[in-house]
Amino acid sequence: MKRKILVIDDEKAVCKMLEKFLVQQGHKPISALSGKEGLKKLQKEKPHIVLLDIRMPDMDGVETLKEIRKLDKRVGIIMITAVKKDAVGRECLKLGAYGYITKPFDFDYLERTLTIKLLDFAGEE
Amino acid sequence: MRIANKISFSFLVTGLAVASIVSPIVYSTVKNDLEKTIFAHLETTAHSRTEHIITFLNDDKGKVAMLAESDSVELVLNSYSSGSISFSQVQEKLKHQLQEVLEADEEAFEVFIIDREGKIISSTNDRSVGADKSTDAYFLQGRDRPHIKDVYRSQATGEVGYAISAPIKADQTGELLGVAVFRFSMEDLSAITTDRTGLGESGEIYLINKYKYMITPSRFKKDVILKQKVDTYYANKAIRDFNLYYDPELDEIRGHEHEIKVYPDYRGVRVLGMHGYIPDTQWFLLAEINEEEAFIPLIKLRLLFLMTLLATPVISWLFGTFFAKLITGPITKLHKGIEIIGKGNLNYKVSTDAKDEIGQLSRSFDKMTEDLKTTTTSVHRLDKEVLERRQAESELKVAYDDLKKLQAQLVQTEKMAIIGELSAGVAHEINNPLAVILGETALLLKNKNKDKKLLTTLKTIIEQGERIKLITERLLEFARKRKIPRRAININKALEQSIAFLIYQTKIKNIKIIKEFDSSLPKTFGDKNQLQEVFLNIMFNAVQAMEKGGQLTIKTHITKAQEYGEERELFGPGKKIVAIEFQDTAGGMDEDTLSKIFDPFFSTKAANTGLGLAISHGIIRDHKGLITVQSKPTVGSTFIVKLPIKEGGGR
Repeated sequence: MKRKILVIDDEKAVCKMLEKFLVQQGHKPISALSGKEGLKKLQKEKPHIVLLDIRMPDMDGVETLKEIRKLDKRVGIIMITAVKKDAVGRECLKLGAYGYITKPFDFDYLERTLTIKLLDFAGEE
Repeated sequence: MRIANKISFSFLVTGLAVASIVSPIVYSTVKNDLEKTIFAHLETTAHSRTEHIITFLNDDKGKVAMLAESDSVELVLNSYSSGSISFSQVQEKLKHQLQEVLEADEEAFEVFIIDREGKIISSTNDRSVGADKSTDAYFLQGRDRPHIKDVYRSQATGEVGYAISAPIKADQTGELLGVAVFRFSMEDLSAITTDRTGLGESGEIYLINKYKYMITPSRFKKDVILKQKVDTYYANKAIRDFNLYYDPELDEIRGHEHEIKVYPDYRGVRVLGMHGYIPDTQWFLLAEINEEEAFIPLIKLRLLFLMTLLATPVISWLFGTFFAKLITGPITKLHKGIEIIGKGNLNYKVSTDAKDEIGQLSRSFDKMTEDLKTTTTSVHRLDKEVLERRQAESELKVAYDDLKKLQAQLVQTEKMAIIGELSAGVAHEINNPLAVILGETALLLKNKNKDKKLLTTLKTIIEQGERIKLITERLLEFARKRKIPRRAININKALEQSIAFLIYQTKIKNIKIIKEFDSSLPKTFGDKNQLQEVFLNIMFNAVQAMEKGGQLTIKTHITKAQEYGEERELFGPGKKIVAIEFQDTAGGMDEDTLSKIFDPFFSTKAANTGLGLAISHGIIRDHKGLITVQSKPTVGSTFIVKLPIKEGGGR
């Protein structure tokens, strides 16, 4: 059963690269280039997991996170940040994110995080 | 040296010189005289007592001779020897006379008469009558001439005494009729020797016989008569001298001088001694006095001279000081006046009444002061003005310097803030393309391409990309805003733990670590791991800079925030804060290096990313603290971290 994973990042190249990785992992990736677009796609596609970049113009990751949580209590959210041990990253955990990964990506770590979070949806359509 | 001291000193030297020259001369003269007196006294005593004893013995001899020569005795003995009266009658006829003789003599305790054969025929003691004395010395010797039997202990009575015998001869024929014998106790002889007048506390006189045994009492020991042997230097000498030099014809010792000697006596005590001879009995008189006592006057004398020697300089000094005061008093007064006037008190007057040169000088001086007073007043006003201006100027300079420092600090803070923002921006901008490059490359690698060349290239891209990643990570680390927990931290402990990381490196590089921790340091607050990162960064830099060994001193102490500038802003003016200093001996840095030391990417070492100190700066800034560096070119640098004290947290 393929899982839908929504990638929200203002950088198109990043989205594309992550899509490739997610396809390789056997998931179904969806991309959005802004927070607003992301919210729309969230409602439309109902993804299992959202990969959400914190640093974005207009509506940033934290705001988007809050909005997503208003719309969907269940979806797994993994924040993308550039900073290790990031105070903002930790703040996001309090706001309902499942975890955060740093840019540039450690694919192994991302893979492990996704696998564990996706266990929540095991056996679902 | 002050004049007063000079005068006193010259008195002292003169006094000392005189005392040290005169004292020994006088002392040795007096000492010789005194010694002579002591010797002469002892010699006279010994001599006079010897004479006394000789006379005394001669007296005794005379008494015996008188009895021997008495007609009544001769008559009775004549009758006895011719057989006209019997043995028992002799006792009867003579006893009365003998008794009378004995009573007349206090000293003799037995008087008796021996017949020609050696048998006692009459005695004051009835029990003696009939005893055989034919082998006794007083019989054998007493047959020819008067004889003194040396002191002996009577076998019959146990009493000690001596005996004198004399022959009884027929007047006309000279035929021997018998021997008269007196036995004497030692009482009177002892009385002569035990009279110790003029011998002090320890002096004594005693007699010894030719066998060196004491025959008169000792002052110090009991029961010595015929028991105490006196084998001392002087006893032996007396006996030897007597045997060598005694001339019986002249009855004197010839060719020999008496001399005083100091030697240990029969008790082992050192004494001053002198001897005399009693030739008749071959007795020797010894007069001795303890050396200690004999020389007491000498010791007193020595003490007196020593005290004189000691007192002389003191007295001379006192005299000198007195005279010096007499001379320098007015000078001092004048000098004091000059000093007071020199300080600006022109109203002061020395006013001396003295009519001498110093008095004149004082009066001239007072006049000069008067003149000076009029001219100085105007100068004074001018001086005051100059002084005020100078003060204002220096205050201005201080204010200017403070301002300059403040400005420099502000520039530094501003600079760091801008650099921080810039770094973060750049890092983020780089991060996105970098994430794509690294991600795409990693995906390519996962496609299991068989082309080895391509694989190597991809790996190189990843390697280099990772390098960029490291830089952006560090940049963001530097720029990131840290949330600092208000957790109490014992700085000394945190430092100890950080230092432990360095032990290996410092050993290899021969660097000595000196810890000067203030044990009463209050706790500060923040993130211990982050602070330790700062400490390690600073210490690693220091260790790296001291390639040829050196010394790293780490101090902690409490200090106060400065009254201006950044410290005032951060901690509040004069507030107590904690300071941590890291002082190295790496040779210091120049101005340019100092101003850029905390900038990111600034490094003097090729291998460094140059972000360590920048991050440290960020950490301390987020702890509401301050990190600064001072440097002495060619000596070393000191990094100072200042942190606020955790309030209400105690120690």
